Amino acid sequence: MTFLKVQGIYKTHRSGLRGKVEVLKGVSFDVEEGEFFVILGPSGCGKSTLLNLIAGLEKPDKGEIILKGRVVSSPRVCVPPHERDLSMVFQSYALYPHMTVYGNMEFPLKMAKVNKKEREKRIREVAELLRISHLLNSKPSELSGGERQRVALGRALVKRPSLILMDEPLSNIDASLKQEMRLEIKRIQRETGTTFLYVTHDQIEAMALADKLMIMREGRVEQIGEPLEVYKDPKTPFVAGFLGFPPMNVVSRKVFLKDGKPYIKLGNWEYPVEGPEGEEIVIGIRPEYISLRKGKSFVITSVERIGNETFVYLEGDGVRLVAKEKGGHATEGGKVDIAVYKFKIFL
Amino acid sequence: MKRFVLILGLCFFTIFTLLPIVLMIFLSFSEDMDFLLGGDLSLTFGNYRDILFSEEVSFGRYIINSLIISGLSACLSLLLSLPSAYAFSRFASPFLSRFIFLFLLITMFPPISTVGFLFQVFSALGIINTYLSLIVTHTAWSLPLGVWVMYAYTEKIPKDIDRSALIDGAGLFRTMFYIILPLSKPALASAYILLFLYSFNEFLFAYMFTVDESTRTVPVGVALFEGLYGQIPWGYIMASASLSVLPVMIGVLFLQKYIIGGLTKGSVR
Repeated sequence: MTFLKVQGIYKTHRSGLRGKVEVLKGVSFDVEEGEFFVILGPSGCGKSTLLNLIAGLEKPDKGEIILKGRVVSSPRVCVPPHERDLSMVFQSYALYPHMTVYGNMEFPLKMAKVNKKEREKRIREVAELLRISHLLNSKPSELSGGERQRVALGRALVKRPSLILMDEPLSNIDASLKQEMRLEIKRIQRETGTTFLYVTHDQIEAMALADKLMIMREGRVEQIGEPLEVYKDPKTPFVAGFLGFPPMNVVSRKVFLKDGKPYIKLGNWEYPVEGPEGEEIVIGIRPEYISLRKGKSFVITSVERIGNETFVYLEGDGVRLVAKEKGGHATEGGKVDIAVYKFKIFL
Repeated sequence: MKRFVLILGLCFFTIFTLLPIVLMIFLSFSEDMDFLLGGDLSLTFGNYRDILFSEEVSFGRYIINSLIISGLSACLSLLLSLPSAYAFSRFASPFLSRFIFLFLLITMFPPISTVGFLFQVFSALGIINTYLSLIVTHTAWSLPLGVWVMYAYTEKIPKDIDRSALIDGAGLFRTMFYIILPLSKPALASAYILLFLYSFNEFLFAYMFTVDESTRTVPVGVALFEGLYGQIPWGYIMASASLSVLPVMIGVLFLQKYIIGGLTKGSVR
């Protein structure tokens, strides 16, 4: 049995003067038990709305959400959030500012009428797991961003839910702490075996955490798969352009005939393809699959040296490309030819 | 030059606002008003002694009446304001919540427009000259102000906190009781002071719905001094006015720590 099944979800928001905005347009996916499932997409693609629907904070206009074999959301059914056996960690942490860390973690257990002894046992256990035992008597206002994040996660874990929803939980934390928290979240997910559904717009976070990755755009699913599989084999130009840094070069070329055989051409680089003459073909090339050699097809417009890697920006044949080099001999204004080792044709 | 103008302005403002109060306190200690016309000045506690202990004047009673009526009506108004403001903030459609200011319009209605009607109703119910008539009227009249103050504050409480409580298993009322109410302490304190002051200072309803000193409030009592003596007893009026400021000042000083303490710790992130 699939742990979580989201089927054909549509959702429209009505906002005062802007009228109707269709946020989700037929979203479907499955999450298996114990999986770390990450939803990745730019701001406004509907990923947070999707999380709210799964949490039961909103109701879909069309479609169904089935959690552990039970329909929890549909236009007619909306099981209240606390009956769904899930917790949620918010972007703003949403800690209760007037309660101590202990009080914050105790609140969901109190609401669930767990007895005092059991409450204390669970809070101590989770506090130890998250390494926040020394903070139990502090108020949220006395904690750092990372500590608040841990408390928010602690409050989600004490209930021992079978699903934890996380809405961009690391977006308010500075870069150095982000990496540490990523590792922590992954460790906790492995140790507890809980299913995590994690929403983010940060591709590094998504790649690092996900067992399975779903990429969304404008209320639709673009691609679902294992992170590396999605990176290596993007199904759409959007996914290609969204994943990877710098993103994949996506260019459109026209098929031409050379010695009676169809080819495409990018600067000096030519490649045999299948298709009638004049047809437009969209290809994607990862920057690391372009290598530079002496020539005159492209002008180097800019060079960025980032430690052991160099990003070289090229212009020529009506397109702009970026190449990633290990060394760094390229100089601005220089002219080069390219060799392409691997590329992807989008149909 | 700019600084000079600023200081001059502030001095003027301070004198302008403080002068009547200083004059009030000063006059409350003077035996008569002759010195204003160039006569001799004689200071005394007589005015205070008379209004507090003489049998003719029941100022102590007025103060107690005022405290009971204002205290209870402010409590009642607050009790109704928080849920209304919370509902307005969380459940009103974006379109509807634009019109919450219409609520305030109600407070701008001249009280005189309803006083006659209310008098008839209260007479029929037999509650003229009781605390109840004033508590009900003051609560109703001050409610929009309470809702407005509480609305402005609850709007600032991040909605994620409510959502979080909902997921944690708290229903609407438990969220309001365990989360929103404790977080609103500073707003409750400010709103309480405003509502209390409204009721404490209110004259027209208090004048119309009270008959004798068993229910008469401070503003009405002070206004009726004149009738008591045939001439204007300025010393008594000033002493009563000075005394009536005291409970309000004590209340403000007491609640101040909640107002200042609460405002700084509301943040979530």
